[in-house]
Parts: sequence; structure tokens; C-alpha cells
Amino acid sequence: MVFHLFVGKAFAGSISMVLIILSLSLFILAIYLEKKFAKMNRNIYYREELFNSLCSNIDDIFLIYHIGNHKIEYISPNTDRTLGISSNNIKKNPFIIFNYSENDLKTEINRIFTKDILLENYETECKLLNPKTHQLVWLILRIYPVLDRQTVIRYIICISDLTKEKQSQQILKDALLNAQKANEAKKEFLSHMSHEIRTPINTVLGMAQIASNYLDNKEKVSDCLNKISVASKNLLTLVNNILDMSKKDSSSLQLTKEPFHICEFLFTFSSIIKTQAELNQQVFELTIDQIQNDFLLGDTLRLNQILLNCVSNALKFTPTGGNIKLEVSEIEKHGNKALFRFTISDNGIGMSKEFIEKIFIPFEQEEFIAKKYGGSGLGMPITKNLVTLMGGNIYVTSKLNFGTTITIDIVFEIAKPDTEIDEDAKNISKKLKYDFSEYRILIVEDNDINLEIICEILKPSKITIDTASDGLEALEKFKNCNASYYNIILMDLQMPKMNGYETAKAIRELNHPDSKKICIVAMSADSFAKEADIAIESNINYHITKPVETEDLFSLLYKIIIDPAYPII
Amino acid sequence: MDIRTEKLIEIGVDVQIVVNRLGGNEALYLSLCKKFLYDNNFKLLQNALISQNFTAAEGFAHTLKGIAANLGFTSLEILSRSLLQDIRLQDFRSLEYHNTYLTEEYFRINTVLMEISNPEC
Repeated sequence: MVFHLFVGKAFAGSISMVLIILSLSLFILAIYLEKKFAKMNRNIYYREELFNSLCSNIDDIFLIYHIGNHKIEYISPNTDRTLGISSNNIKKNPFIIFNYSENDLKTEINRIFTKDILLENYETECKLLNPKTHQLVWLILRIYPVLDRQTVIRYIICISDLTKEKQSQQILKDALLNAQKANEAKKEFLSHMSHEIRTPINTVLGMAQIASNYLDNKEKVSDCLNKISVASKNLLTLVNNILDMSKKDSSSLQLTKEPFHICEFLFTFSSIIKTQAELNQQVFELTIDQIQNDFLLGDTLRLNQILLNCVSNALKFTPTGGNIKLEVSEIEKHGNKALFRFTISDNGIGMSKEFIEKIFIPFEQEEFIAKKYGGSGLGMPITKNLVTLMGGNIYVTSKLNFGTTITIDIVFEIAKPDTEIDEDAKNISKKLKYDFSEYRILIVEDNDINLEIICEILKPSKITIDTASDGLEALEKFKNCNASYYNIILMDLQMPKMNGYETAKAIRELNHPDSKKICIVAMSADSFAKEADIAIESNINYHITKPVETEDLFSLLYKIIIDPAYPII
Repeated sequence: MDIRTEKLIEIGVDVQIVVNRLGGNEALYLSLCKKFLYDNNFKLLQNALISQNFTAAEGFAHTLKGIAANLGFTSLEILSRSLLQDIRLQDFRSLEYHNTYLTEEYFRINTVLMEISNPEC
């Protein structure tokens, strides 16, 4: 019995030991599993955070939709930023996105999500009105069905913003359309222009032929010569208009600023127009109203061109017995500037509303105008360009069969009372007679003909002329001369061996008392500002364009040698 | 006005503007026109174009443009300017087109210059 008790106690002890060991093991296992799960959870949590961070920062939106539960299982956190709809709202109502899109899409999405479950990937483009920004955005919607044992249980939905691509496509489409339109316009222009150009040329040739057949008939010959003169002027105007348009395109149209009296200008202008109007049996009237500041600074040539374009159209499109008016007034003054208004009105044939919208587009004309009256369709576009260049505005109102009114507002600078007008400066220059007999010039020119012309132009000024046929010779002559021997160097830019730029640079680098101060004037057949800029950068003081005009050269030399304050004409 | 100058006017040369620039010296103008017959720039330009030396061609076209402007050969000047632009932009199709007309114009002027340079004229 004692043995049984011992065995019993021993057995119970063993069982306890086992249980203790088991509990301990389970405890250790539990701790281990807890730690492991915690680590796994942390990893899952970390990955979810990474994914959310990815989704927050990109513009694409991801959703996972459970078809069975009709619930959003995942939605990227960037919907507020990209669609203007919060992810919470979308979670509550997955179809809320499509409330802001077209009705057709809403119906389609309803069908896909409820009835006709997709078995293949689906893609569609749509527009959506962002409820926060109220901007229309282009989206691409992609739906990927997820299968589980051949049953679609989820949709993975990706929404991407296509707006920028669509805008770029639209820009390209517009550019292509514009290019096609421009091409069409050019073709039309060329066919129209060839007629416009040929007509006066045919007149010239025809009249010349007729004149040659009637050499003994003075009256006939005189009539032919008059018609040749008119046709030639028309052709010249046409070519000038075309050149002006191309100048505008190449940005080489520049305005001058000269003092002038506006009333005097208008009276002169008016007298020319009146003569033409009388020939057409029309009435032309000039009205000048409330001009306080008569002495202005501006480009009278371009102002004349602007008014002439408008008034010429008025004369052209007003029938016999009609009226054309030019009214000019000073509207207001601020500081040293004054706003002037020029109103040209007529009671002629007028223009349609549709045409007024196109009036400033080059080559556009009403069809019946082109047929009946001809013309290039460039006058008004050129006028607008010039007005804009002068910082002004132009407005047109018109009614078919009633007439047209063109209003032009331009700001002019008010000239100071002591400002000298060009005419006076020119007269002064004539009185001076440009006597440079005490001065010496070095002309550097490789072409004999050009050299002879320049020398001949300079002869009346009595300046002592020394010549060099290239840059090397010029450099040698300058290096070996005494200080103040030459007052000025006139140099061609395009020369072989050493061009004008290189020669000027070499002269500046010489160890000669005059090397830094000698004035170098470059001559070039290129009139573009670019070459002038390069010339001035390359140690050249002035740039003059070939063919050299006498007055331009003399006034420049006068400014350089005698009076730096002298205005270059 | 000298009959030789009139022949130049007939072919569209802007004689008056150049003669004015030369202080009315018509005789000098005619002698400069004769000099043009011996000017090499057109020949050098054509050689440069044939050998595709466009840098040299640019220089010769530029010089030809300047001389044409100085002598009132307006059409020649305009064509030289167009050719110069074509060379600079490497627009070889347009270059061929303009060179054809430039050559025509050059020979048209030269024909008249040769005629007026003839002592019998």
C-alpha cells in the first residue's frame, strides 16, 4: 500500500511536471506567436502606410470594390485633392463620383457594377466637373475584374487624369487647323495677289504698247502715260503693303519720334484728300476739336499711313455724292502725354457684322468687295498693326448700306516748346555745308566700286581720305600712324582675310594712343538690327547701312567729329 | 540725260537715286557701271555654290547685294538679299529658285552694260 501510494504520488508529480512544462511551452509559444503576429501586423501596417503614401502623392486614384457586398474595400486618400470629392463620401456612396460626370457614363457604370459584371478589363474616357474647383477635367477610367475560382468578386478601379494630354492634343489640333487655314489663306492670297499684281503690270504694258502705236498723237500718248503712272503707283502701294506686313512679322518695323504740329499735319493731309474727293464728286470734311496741345512727338509717316488707309477705304466704298468726315480731338492729357481721337466716318456701302469680326485679319475681304473693288485685304491689318505699335486702339462700327465709322485712339508725347523740328535741323545742316577739311578719314573697303562711291560721296566735305583694301592693310596703316592722325575709320564689315569685326578688335588691342578712342563706323549691306548690335559689341561705335546716303553719312560724321549733341537725321 | 543712262532706266535700274548720291555726276555713275562688268562677285558666288562652300557663298552674295544697292540695280539687290537669306537658312530649294532668277537678272544687266560700254554707243 505504501508502494502504491508512492507510485501514485510519483505519477501525479510527473503529470504536474508535464502540465507545468506544457503550460510553460504554451506560454512561451503564445509570447512567441504574439510577437510574431505583432511583427507581421507592423509589417502589414507599414506596407499599408507605404501604399497610402504612394496613393496620396500620385494623381491616380485606386479603388477596390467588393461586388458581393457592394462596398468599397479600399480607396486611395487622394480623391479630395484630385476629384474634389472626399474618400469618406465615396466609401459611403461609391457611385457619387459619377454624379459629376455625364449621364451616359452614370448609366453605364450602374450597369457594370450591378447587372452586367465584367469578365474582361474595361476602359473609358469621361469628363467630370470637379465640385470644389468647378473645373472640367478629363479622366480615364479603368476597371480590372478580380476572379476567385472563376467568379468575379472584386473590381480594381484606377482613375487617371487626362486633362493635360487632352489640352495638348487640343493645342496641336488648333495649331494644325490654323496652319491649314494659313496655308489656304496663303494660296488664296497668292492667286488673288497674282491677279492684283498682274492687272497694273498689264496696264503698264498695254498702255506702253498703245503709246508706241500713236507716237504722233500727243494727246493719246499723254493719256497712256497718265494711266501708266496710276497703275505703277497702285503696284508700288501693293508691294509696300506686302512689305509692311512682312516687316511686322519679322519685327523690324520701327517708329520714329519727331516733333510736328498736328493741326498743320491734318490740314496738309486734308488738302490732298479733298482733291481726290472732289474728283469722285464726294464731300470730305475735316473737323478739329479742342486741341490744347498742338506740338507733339510722333511718327508722322506712320500716322499719315494710318489715316490714309482708313480715308482711302472711305473714298473707295462711298458712292458719288456721299460724305466722308475726319474728326480729330484731344480727349485727355496726363503729364507729358495726350490722348488723341481720330474718327473717320462715311455714309458708304458699309460692312456686314460677320466681316467686321474679320476686318483685321490679313487677306480677308468681303467676297463681293474683292470682285468689284479689288484690293489686297492688307490695308486694315497694317493699320491695326501701326496703331498697336503706337500704343493705340482702333474700333470699327458699320452697317450694310448705311456706312462705316472707324475710331482710332493714339497717345502722343507732348513736345517741349524748344524742341527743334527736323526741317530746321536740316536747314542748319545745309547752312553748315559740312566742311571737314581739317579732318582725316581711313576708309576700309575691299570692293573698288563701293570704295569709289564712298570717296565720291565724301568729296564735297573736303575730308582727307586715306584708303585700305582690307583689314590687314588698315591695321598696318593705323599701327604705323602718329597719334590723332586719323579722326575716324569707316570700315566695311564683310571683307576677306580679316573682316570688319576682327579688324576693329585688333585695332582696339593695339598699343597705340588712339586705339581705344578712335571712332570706328561700320558699313554693311545688312540693315538688320542684329548686325548693328554685333557691330557695337565688337568695339565698333556706329553702324551705317549700304547704300550709304549722303545726308546720313555727313550728319553722322558731324556728330562724331565736331558736335556729339548734333542729332543724326 | 545720257542715252546710255536711259537704257539702264529702261531695264528698271534706279539711276536717279544713285546719280543724286554722287552729286549729280552721271559720268561717274556710268564709269562705275562699266566697272561692274569686271566685278567677280557673281562668278565667285556661283563657284562657291557649285562647290557647296556656303560660307564663301554667303560672303559673295552679301558683297553682290551691296554693290547692286550702290549702283541702283534694285532687282539684283532684292534677289541677292533673298539668296543670302536662303544660304543662311540653308533653304536649298529656295536657293535654287532665287539663284535662277538672280542669274537671269545679272545677265540682263550685263547685256545692257556691255552695250553701253561699246564705244560706238
